[in-house]
Amino acid sequence: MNTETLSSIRPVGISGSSTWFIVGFVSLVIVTACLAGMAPIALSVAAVFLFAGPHNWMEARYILGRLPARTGRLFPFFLVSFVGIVGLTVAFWLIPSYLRIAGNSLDYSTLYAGWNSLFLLWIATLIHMRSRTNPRFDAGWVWPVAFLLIAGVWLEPFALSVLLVYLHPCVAFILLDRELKRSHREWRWAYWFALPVIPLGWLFVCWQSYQAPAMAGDDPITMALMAHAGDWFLTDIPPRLLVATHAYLEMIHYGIWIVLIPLLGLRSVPWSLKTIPMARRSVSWQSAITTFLLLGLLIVFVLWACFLVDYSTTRTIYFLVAMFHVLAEIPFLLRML
Amino acid sequence: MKTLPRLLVFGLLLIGTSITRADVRFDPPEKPKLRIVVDLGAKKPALLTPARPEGIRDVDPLDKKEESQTTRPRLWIVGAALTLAFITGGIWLVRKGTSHKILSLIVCAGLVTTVGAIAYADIPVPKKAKPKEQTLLFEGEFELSAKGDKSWTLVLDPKTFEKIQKAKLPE
Repeated sequence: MNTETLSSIRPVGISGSSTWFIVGFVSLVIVTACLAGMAPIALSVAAVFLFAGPHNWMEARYILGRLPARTGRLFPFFLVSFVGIVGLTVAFWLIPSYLRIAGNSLDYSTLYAGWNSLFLLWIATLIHMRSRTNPRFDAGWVWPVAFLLIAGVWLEPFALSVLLVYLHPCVAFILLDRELKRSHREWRWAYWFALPVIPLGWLFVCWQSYQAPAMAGDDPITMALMAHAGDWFLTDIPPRLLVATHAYLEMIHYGIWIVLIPLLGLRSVPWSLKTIPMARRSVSWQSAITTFLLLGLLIVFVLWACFLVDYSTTRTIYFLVAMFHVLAEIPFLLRML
Repeated sequence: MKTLPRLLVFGLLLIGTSITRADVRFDPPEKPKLRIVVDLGAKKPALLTPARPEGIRDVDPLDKKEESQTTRPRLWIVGAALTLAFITGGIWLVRKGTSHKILSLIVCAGLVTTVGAIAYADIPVPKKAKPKEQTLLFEGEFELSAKGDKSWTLVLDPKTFEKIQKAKLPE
């Protein structure tokens, strides 16, 4: 067992002034806004192809570094989190298969409304459980809000699903803030001052999208991008703006996960296991974590190969599978609050 | 004595909700309409379908059973969820001990929602202007059905066909 304490390991990334961090963050947003406004399809295709897999790997590595070696009193929270992540992901995968079965008794609206209801109840349960551990807070508001949202999803079953497509990239902004609070507290003010650049960049994306000609949308890749951005639901918004907005948010999300959070938060190089508490438990745990991370790397390479063979199909499958990491971020975010 | 203002607030909220619910715009499902136009500037014939086609049935159009089987249980769930929201919200407020600040916030939120919903329900739907260069040959209700094969088939009854034949193109 390694006797080195975690507190003695310092971040390997940037240190000192917040200027370079803010310059990096603002540059990322400005460059992404320009690319998303001018070439949304190219940016969306390139961003998912290059960064989707690596960002999932970096996220898994970061979460492993933050998970405690033993769950202890938090066991119920981790159990509910795990059951929810796996159960909801599997249910999400099974819905399209079920709908293809001839003579099924439930229609797609009922299935997605049911899935969204379970998802909301799961989040409400996690917030409730989180509120009972330190630092404690009053979470009585959670249930009325959850039931109000459930009423909403049964009236408009796809609204929340489409909203999640745009909200999920924004979770990275909150996680970056939490990471700054943890490792570079004095930089938080600078980050907060820099945050308005995101809506400003989006306004630029809107302006560019309205200036540009309408999207043709007759090839499989463009159709896949438009469908993922929710053009079938948000019919009054030009598909180009939807694709551009999604590409813009997704690219910033990737930038935060692949560059900023690792530079700020990782206390060692990503392939070093000494800062993963679970890997310090025993040799067998260390082997399991190593296998998990190597398997993750293999999946990244397989994903690149599949993207090269058939981009639109791989993208559709990827975003179906990616539900796992969307869900995994929620309990992780709650623990960081 | 503390319970009286709370009850008053909840009563007002419930009344507000009922008024709002009663005023919510209810659009009965419109029967799809068929328009046949001649566009002198068009290079090819075109079949324009609505972005969200409504009223497509693969069963008898008079059979309303299928529709009610899916919408009714859904509305029950909406009702149950709203009831649970109000119950849990009420319990939370009672346990928390409502301060004047929270009470005024709830009243304001309720008023904004009520007035907003009434205003939204009363907004007239803007009608799209007809393009000037097109000549309308026919406009009326028709049956939209998914019974056909892969092609889009326009079936005309003799009366409609007669009307179209009689129509004259602008010179």
